[in-house]
Amino acid sequence: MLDAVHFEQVGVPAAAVLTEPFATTGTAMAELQGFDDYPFATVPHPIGSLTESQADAIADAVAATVLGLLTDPDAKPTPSDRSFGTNAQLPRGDKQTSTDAASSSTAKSAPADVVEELAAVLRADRADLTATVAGRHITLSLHIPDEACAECVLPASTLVPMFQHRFDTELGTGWTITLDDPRTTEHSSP
Amino acid sequence: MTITLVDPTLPPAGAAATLAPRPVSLEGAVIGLVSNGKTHARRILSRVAQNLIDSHGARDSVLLVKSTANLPAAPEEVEALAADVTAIIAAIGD
Amino acid sequence: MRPVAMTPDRDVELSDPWRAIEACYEAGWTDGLPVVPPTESLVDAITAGGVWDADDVLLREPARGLEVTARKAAANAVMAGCRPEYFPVVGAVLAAIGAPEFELHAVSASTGGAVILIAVNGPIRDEIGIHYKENLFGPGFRANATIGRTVRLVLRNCLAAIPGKLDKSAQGWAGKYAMCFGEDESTSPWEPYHVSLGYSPSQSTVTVMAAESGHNVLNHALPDPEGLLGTFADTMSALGSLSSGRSLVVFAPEHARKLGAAGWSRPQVQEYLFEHATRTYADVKRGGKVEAAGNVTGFHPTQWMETDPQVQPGDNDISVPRGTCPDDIALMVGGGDAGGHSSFFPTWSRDRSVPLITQEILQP
Repeated sequence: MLDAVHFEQVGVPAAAVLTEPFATTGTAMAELQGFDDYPFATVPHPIGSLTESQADAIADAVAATVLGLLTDPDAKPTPSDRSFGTNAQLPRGDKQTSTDAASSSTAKSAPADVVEELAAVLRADRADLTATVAGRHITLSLHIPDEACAECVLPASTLVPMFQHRFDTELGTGWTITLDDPRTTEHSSP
Repeated sequence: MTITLVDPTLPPAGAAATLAPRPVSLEGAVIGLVSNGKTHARRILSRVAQNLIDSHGARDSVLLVKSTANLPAAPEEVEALAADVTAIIAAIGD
Repeated sequence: MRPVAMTPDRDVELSDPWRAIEACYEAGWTDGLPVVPPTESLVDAITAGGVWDADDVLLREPARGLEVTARKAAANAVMAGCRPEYFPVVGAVLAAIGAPEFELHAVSASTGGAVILIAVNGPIRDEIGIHYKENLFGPGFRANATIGRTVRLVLRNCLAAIPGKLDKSAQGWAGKYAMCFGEDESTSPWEPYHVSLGYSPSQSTVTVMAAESGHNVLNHALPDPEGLLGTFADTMSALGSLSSGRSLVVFAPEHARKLGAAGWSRPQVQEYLFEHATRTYADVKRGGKVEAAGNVTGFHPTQWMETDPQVQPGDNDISVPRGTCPDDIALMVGGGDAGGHSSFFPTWSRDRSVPLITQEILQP
């Protein structure tokens, strides 16, 4: 974080990308340097044990947020929470609202972005996530191939509320999700 | 009875800092990448930069691998890179 | 360095003396244990007649833009339970950890959870009661406990080294409460540690180390140096703490006497440990300690973390040492007269880490 704020201090806009556990630390470091509410992006943790393709997925998932941090003077941090994904707003004009998400064409692109963020997390354990969208309902399918560690992937009872929270945050409330988990029976959000 | 306790803490103070001005777009921008040398740092930073070049008009990227991975870039490193770039990306996390 | 506003002193209305202790908890000033409320008179007594004036800066941390004055350090020393005569040791520790090469910001923020290990040499040990005999690292000795504790409280209260702020320790270890001890110079078969660095025996010093948790090295049966040190070398080559960083071995008197009886010098012991605390390159790779290649080719002792992570033919024939040279292994002596239990402390983190820093203690 210090690198980012040091460049801000010499007039160079900076985008800091932090793994989620370091969000609080990054916020504290920026505050020590006089930057309250310094906007930055968060990505899933850890990075060190990822494969190259998984690392590429992280980069692809965060690029749009980095663009916003570097070109939007009003980019604001979202308070870090226990879910995954980026935490800075997209540039103006690209922002999805809950009313926009009600239309079918918009509903197919915005949920796909969130699904991709969630899938990138699961790929760290060699699992994957796909989805189909019908109206404001998202059917998620969890894929755990033989070479993946099924026990390493969080149970559906934990994943469903996490995913729901992510959709609520990114798309607005009103979306329901169903998760097909090969390890157990189907789980739905309340 | 009232006693006075000497505060042992040291919170920061001073004027709030302001963000550097943002360009309206990255058209023609040179993106500085500040790497701490940890696994995938360079790969992730470079791929994000490539995305900005391929899809958002940035012109080039410049990589700085810090002389000391555990500490921020030295002032001379910041000064040198700042002279050559429009914006930077830095990454933190193990 | 950004200007830092000094926090105002805090008035506490007391209905009974215990309220002041609770007030310190409520303010978030403690390490989880009760602290001595830092009243003005107690804080002033720490610095009165001492080496430093209240506004003298004892520790600068440039990454965080913070400076710790003698008065702030004294407030934390009071809370820790320090007596005024301990404060010169505290000041020396703060000077040592403020050395640029110690990289205090990284040491105190890292997921590695390093402890500020403090070893004291010289006459001050007996002058103020720094313990260096049985139960060397354990509780019960005021100087040891409170000097170590002061340093941690300064890090927490003055440098924001707190979980949830800047301390990202994954687990840390109990030495973060306090880790301060003296070397048993009279029992050591060699010159005192600080003398080996060029200080005179009449000088008192602190040596600080960013330390991971210690390994107990148990050996009761073997009288010969090679057999004894083989146990140490094996412990020091454990994959979980193997790195190109420094090491500290604290020999219990029982072990130190065996080495002394055999006539082994300090350099001889260092060389033996360096040559034998090794793992094969194949083991190092299997342990996940070799990361994806940069453009580094071949094998270099200090860059073995930056090359091909796949086990290759011949990797079993390459020997990877702990550290880069025998002098990376610091040796001290301390502990009870009985018991073949010594300790090995690796430096924090996965690579070269930071050096041990020795600082003279200035006394009034």
